[in-house]
Amino acid sequence: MTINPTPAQPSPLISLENISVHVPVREWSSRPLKSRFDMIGRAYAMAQRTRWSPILQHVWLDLKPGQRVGIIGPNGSGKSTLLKLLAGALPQSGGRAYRRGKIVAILSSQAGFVMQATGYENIFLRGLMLGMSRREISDRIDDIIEFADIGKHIYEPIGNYSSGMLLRLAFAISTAFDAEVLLIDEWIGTGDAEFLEKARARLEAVVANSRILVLASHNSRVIRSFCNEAVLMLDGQIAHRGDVDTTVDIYRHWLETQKGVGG
Amino acid sequence: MDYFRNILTWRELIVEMAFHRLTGRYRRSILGPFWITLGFLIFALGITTLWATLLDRPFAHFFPYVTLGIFAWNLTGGMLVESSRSFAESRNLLLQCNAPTVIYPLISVLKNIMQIPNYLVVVIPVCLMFGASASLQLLWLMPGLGLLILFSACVAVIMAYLGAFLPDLSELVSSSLRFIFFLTPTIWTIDMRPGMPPVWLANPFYYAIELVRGPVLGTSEPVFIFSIAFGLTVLAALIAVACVRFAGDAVKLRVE
Repeated sequence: MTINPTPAQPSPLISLENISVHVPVREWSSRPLKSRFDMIGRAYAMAQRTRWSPILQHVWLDLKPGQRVGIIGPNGSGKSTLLKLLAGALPQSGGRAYRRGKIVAILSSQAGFVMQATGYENIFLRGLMLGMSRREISDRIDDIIEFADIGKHIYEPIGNYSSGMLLRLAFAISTAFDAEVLLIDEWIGTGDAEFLEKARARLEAVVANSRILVLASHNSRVIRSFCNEAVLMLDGQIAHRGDVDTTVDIYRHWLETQKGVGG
Repeated sequence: MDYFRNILTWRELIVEMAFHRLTGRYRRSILGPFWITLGFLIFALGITTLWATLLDRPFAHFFPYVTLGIFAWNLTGGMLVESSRSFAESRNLLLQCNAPTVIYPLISVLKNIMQIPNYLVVVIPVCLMFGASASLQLLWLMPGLGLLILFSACVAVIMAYLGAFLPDLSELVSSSLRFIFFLTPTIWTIDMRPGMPPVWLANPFYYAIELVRGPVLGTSEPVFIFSIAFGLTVLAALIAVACVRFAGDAVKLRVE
């Protein structure tokens, strides 16, 4: 009798255990130190009283190879914060986070761009920001320039670019590098239909080369296209995790409930 | 050691960002970063002419002294002022990139180091023309410059982390340095007022400037200056390491 051994479950590349993130919020309007004439210490303390606001709470999340997770939720629910935390760009206030493997986070369309620098120079800047070496960037620069389709403007300062050109350049750079864990924030879903069509094939190739994808988006079509499960964020907590259709339905039901509450 | 190795993996980004910070400001100008040299020369010439006229002393007596003083001051002061706002200025990058937070003040430090050739273009000819002392004391110059950079970098790191928690710090540093500039024997000599109590000995900036000026002009005893400066550097380094250790990640929540 042959016994087929149970395939071992892959171990998670990212694991979040009871994560919380609190940020300081000033309760009083900030007053410059030197504009006060009373006792500096007391005036400064009064002007700078802060409270800590939770933007993520009680988050437990394991991400294993093969998972394509979409994060949905209303504005302010903590989607971007969760992505930053997964990327290691933001520290947790409580709980433990474990990460391994090469993580590429595409969290903003324009982060790392220097407006006075040329498109060519910004390719290197943004690539370095993503943790690549100059050699890796040099190996891919022709591919980036070709996909961005900016022509000779690539040697002009990006402060002269249109928003469409910036978006194409940012997308081209961000999707040029292989990653084990790919984290994408919702700016990917912006752009006109022509851009989305052009971006789709490239994104599919990048996603196929990565072991884990986490994608935050308002666009349920984008989530359905690229993800095999979804997480619903509400008020800084994971309200539901499951297949995409069910999670999107739960979100839609919640939105309708909110409209009803709002009158 | 892992932390330092991690910083080294981001060295290309540090160099690239420092280069763009330096050149970005002058992209639309004709002279570019040469304005740093020109501004420095005009200021040094102006102050020297003023002293020579007011005190009726030879121009050559003051020019190398003032030039070296302003060079060392600008190097240190520039790092302090820029680093105190480095996290606020890099906020966008800080919250996207998982590099160690200490790279942001290091970008400011490196940018100021990259400006050194702009000053040397004036400092070296002035010292050669107006009487640098060709003695064994000159051997202290390179170690002195190295220690000056190291001391300034450590204080810059401290200023950066303090600046994240005290939003008005960059304003306070700018204002204070304008006053401390005149309190320090940067452009005035300690023999201008005989009998004055040696208050400059309690001023860390005095040691910073003499690390470079003393070996060239013989204005101070190098062993004494180097010893005090080394002690100050060790202290600053310990505080800087503590800042990175305890506030390294928390600073991201402060600028979020």
